[in-house]
Amino acid sequence: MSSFADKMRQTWDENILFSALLELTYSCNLDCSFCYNEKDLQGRTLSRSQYLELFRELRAMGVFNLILSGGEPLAHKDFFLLGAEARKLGFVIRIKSNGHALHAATAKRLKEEVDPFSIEISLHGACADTHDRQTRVPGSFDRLIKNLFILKDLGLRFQLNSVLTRWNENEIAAMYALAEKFAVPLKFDSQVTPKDNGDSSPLELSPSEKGLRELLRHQHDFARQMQSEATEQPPQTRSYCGAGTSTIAIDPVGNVFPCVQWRQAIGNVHDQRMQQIWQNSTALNSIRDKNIEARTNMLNQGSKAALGAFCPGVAKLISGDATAIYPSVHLRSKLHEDILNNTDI
Amino acid sequence: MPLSPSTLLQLHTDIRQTRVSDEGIILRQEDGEILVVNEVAIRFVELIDGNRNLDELTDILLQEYKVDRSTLADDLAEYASELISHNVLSITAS
Repeated sequence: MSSFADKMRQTWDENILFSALLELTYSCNLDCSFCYNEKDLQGRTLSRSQYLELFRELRAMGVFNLILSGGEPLAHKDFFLLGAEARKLGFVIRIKSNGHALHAATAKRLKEEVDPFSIEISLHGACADTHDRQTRVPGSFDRLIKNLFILKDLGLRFQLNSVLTRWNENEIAAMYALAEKFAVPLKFDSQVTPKDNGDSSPLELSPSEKGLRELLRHQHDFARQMQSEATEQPPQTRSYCGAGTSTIAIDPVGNVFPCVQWRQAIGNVHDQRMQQIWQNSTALNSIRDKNIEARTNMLNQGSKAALGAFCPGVAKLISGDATAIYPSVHLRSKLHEDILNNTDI
Repeated sequence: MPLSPSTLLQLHTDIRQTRVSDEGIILRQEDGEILVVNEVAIRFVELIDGNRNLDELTDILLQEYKVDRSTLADDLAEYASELISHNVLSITAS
């Protein structure tokens, strides 16, 4: 019998659509300074009936994970209706939220009507000054902490996600301690990305080398405690990642992308059925080729390159080439190597 | 509760399942436990609706797979017991 990892490799290698991320809306109740969403996105938003039809089609295609994202997905007027329908269809529902709206009544409703498998909640700092500076909404940190206690009490499964920035890089240990208080994982993304429209102004908030080193040290220490290897080797697959091979992302106006980060449209659900896009899109086929090329390219760089957390989608945004290794990957690789060789200072 | 041909089964509400090629993936949301099962087992799970008993499930699968009835019935009873022990299924009536 295969393992789950074997099955995931099979989805990548055989282009089996397994996860779909839906950006339901770009509306948000916070105003994060490095938000990557294209707020002035043009086009006709998908209607309730289009979403319901899309859900049925995705489920018929065998999609397992349905990720409801945004903006803030709870800001979509039909969020609960869509969530309940997704549950009825048997999806594993994952929600990416800032947590701001998850007060007691809404959280209870979420559990009863949608029953998500997990909620990924954004944390931007370990204190109100840092978190609120990022969200640009005073009081958002205190409200988030209050809501996290509510989620915990209700038995909703959640994890914390954070982007490492210049503003929170001095609070890494305190943020991990905060996550520990709730007994939930905290996942850092060490790459601040350009906006989806290519605007690179968010990169000004990128963490310093010192901040990156600090994060990597924490992650290595944690891996040591868990007695696991801190190194990440690429999985034995043809493609570098699941973008366009097992995943898709769909924006509020129906544009379909190979993943949330790789913003190269492969079709639009206003014009075509998802099955048609998945099987016949020439743009998607060339993305799959690029994904294979990206893996070959990374393997050619040697084992240390794998430590730099390369993302073809970010590469495409930064340089226009999804296979081109960008500077922060080299930096992270070097820092990892230093830590592994105990030469970091 | 022992299994018999008249046993009615249902999936726990936190169970999610799908097929990947010729095997199935079953997720128990409560604790994140994942099971990978063979083609017959995932088909068996797909057919469980709380209304069909083991005998009726055997009849349906008999039309889909080339196997003799008693072997299939024994296999399904074994699958069902295993899935009950993994908190995937529960017995609603016997």
